Amino acid sequence: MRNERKFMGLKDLILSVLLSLLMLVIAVAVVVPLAVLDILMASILSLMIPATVCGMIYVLMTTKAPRIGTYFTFSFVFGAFYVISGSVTTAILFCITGIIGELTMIGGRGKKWRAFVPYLLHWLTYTYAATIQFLFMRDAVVQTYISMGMDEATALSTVDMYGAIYTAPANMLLCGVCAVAASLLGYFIGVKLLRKHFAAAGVA
Amino acid sequence: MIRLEHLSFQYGAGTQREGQLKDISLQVKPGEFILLTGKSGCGKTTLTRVINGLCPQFYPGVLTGSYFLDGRDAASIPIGELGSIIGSVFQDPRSQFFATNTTDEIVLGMENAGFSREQMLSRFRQTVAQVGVENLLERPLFSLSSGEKQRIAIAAACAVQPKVLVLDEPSANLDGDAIARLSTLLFRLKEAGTTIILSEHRLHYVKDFFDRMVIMDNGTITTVFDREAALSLTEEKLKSLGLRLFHEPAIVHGKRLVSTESAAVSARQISISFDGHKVLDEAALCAPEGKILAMMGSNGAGKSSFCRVLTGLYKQQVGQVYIKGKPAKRKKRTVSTFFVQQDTDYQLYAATVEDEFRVGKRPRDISKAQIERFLEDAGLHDMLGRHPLSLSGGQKQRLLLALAAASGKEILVLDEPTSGLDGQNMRVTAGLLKKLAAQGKSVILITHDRELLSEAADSLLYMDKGKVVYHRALR
Amino acid sequence: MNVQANHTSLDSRVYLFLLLAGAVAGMYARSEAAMLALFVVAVAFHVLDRRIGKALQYAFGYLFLWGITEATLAWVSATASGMALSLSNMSMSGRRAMVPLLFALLLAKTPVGSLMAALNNMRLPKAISIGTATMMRFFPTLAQEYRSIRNAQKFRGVGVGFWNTLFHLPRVFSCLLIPLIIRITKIAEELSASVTVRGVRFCGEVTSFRPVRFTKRDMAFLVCGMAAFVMILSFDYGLWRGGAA
Repeated sequence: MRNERKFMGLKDLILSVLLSLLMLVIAVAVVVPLAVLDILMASILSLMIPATVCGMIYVLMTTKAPRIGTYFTFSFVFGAFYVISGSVTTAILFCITGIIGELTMIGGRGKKWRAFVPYLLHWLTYTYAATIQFLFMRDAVVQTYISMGMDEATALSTVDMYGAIYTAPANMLLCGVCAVAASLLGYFIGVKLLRKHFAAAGVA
Repeated sequence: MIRLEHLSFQYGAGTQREGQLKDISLQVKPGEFILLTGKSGCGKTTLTRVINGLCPQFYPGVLTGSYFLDGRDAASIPIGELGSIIGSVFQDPRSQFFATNTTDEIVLGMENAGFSREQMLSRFRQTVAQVGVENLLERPLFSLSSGEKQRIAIAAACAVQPKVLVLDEPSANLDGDAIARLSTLLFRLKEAGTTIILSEHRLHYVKDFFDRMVIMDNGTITTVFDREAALSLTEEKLKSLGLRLFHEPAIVHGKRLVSTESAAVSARQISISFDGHKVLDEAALCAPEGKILAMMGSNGAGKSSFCRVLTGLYKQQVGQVYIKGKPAKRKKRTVSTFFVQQDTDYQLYAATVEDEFRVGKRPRDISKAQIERFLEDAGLHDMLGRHPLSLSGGQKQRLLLALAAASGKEILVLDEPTSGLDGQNMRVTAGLLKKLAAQGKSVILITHDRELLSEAADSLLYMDKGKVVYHRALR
Repeated sequence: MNVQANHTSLDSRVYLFLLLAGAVAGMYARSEAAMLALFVVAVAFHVLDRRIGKALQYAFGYLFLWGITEATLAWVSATASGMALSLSNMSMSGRRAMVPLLFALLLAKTPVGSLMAALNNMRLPKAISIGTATMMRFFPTLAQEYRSIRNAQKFRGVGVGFWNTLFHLPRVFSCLLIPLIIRITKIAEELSASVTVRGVRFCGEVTSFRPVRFTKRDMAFLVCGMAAFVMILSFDYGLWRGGAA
């Protein structure tokens, strides 16, 4: 008899926090070795790999704790990380994503494929967070280059070249498509592995 | 104090058969010490969860019958309030700590129970003195040994001064010295009037002061003995019940064994240090083929570190390891050995028991018939399609021994293979180890389990403070 | 019996507010001097807490990142290669991130009960304090679990050696992730059972064993920290020079 509580309890909170942290660690760990690649390639891979790999963790989390608060906790944990790493705008975005994720689950808790929506929203936020962050910090970064001895024209062109990768419509579309594909693949793998491993092992 | 009448419990929707309780009736008087025992899977843990309220308030399920605590219907008491009447100590200290500091962990229950700061300070001082953890205060929990962690866990449970203390296999990860300290502590708590319910496989350390022994099987209480009657049970009777013995077998030393380089694995002058602290100090070992070498010593003596050097997980700073007389570098040692760690969950990866044998191998390396043979030897012949992590603790250990046998490796190292196992599983494990040794494998096991030692080991290597004190034949 | 009043010099709320302020300030700092000044303010709180050794380590870390930015500066100007841009950006972002991170590290040293009581005093939902405490306790556990699984894998022929790992990456991943996920799920269940029986719950008050008081000293340091951030940004944006920089 699954507990029929609507709101998350202590057990759900601790489970959601720990599994969300694991997903965060995977997302962060993937970024570092990809830094040597081309920026666009690095951006795409550093979103596709965690979105694919974390699907199984997310599906397990939402199966064990299909309650109000679980989806928000998932995005909130990422947001908390972005606050600590100095990116307040991204943190706020994740909180908004978490709230929207909860709203999309109204009337659909426990439904297998409805829970995909918050997952997709989360990784779309992750995809475009860098773009929005760049827009907020562009001026500060230009001035930093100038203060380090670069002339203004070079600093502007350098930053804009970097920013163009994130703001070019074609690139943004490509990243969005990759986010959708990776989230879908990750979620699908998660549903398969839920039966094969986690339910069979007695943890789901 | 506690009255259970025709109590039954089933996890989930009531359709699961495992872990259920059937028609339990038991009365526990104030100040009584109940030793709850039985084979693995008999329902001991579930019964402790019902008593401390986790079933059904935390682990959902269907509870029927009645449970009265001091005359009150316990089902109507919120679990937080139950926690101030019934203190709980769980088996694994690692996953029951919420804080990162010992003092914070001890006071956690009081902080959430609505005590004033003055009350907390007074109870804190009393508890620390009673449990004897003055030297452990204000320390990071992760730096403590298993025995120290378990004492902190008991202090944390006792800080709210509960009337009842429920412990679920607290000795599972402890060495001989730590078990002796646990025994003294439980005796003192009993003398102080605490009602104690101890779910355990190891019986020896409480044999002098428990009041009644409750034996469970298949979710029911089969027999209740008072202490005299329990202690008069013969060894054969205890074994037939699948239990461990009330006494620890004496270790009878034989001759001192010398190192030879022609052994399956040997080591000379092994020294390593971590953070300026010497963990191994010129340790030496000789493990012959076809024999079982047991390593004993208190926690922190260097046994695990020595085995990690032998298996290539650690690199020694001084000294040399030899495999069949030839110096072996780390990679060679890892490839030549099979290390079964204490926690089986780290070592099982596949979706079925059958697939587990194919992990790390090519499909043609092992056939289904071969897998079935290995499983037959381990008494797991009907587990082929099961998920490895759904097996019981004893079954997982046996599966790992089967995997070790199937690996083809000649040197097997096992870290506490019988920790948390009942008497029956311990004996089956001992039998498997002897079978592996009979096949010519060299088996090294780290153990605190004297019963296992007497059942299986050919020699004993004793360590203390990073040094090998002696290596002697047994029997 | 000596029970420390607190593990850090100041109330945890000071670090929490300065963490948020430092994150915002770090985002908008424009010059190298401003970034360095913000970092110095953050490190000063570690020195105040007598963590001199750690403060030196962080200073070396900042220096290392600054070195990367400097080294890639000429590269970026000359070629604007993707890798140069990436490294340059990462090192700059890293230095900005150090400001809130240093306050987060001080927050992590706060005893659990004191942190929960402080957050509850701010009228935040208990779920936040319990969630925060859980996060702080979890990281050492995760590292330990990862290491145990990786060590065990070696004896099964999984993930042994660089090329073996690379060629069998999906298998290595699944043999690492699946047991890790299952372990963490079990730990979550056992941990929540343990704290549930000890009365931790969403409702109800928490009385901190260690006194939790927001003193005048805490207020003074909070005000000083905030003022330092404001002054640094004001100088950076030239507000003191009566016009834009």
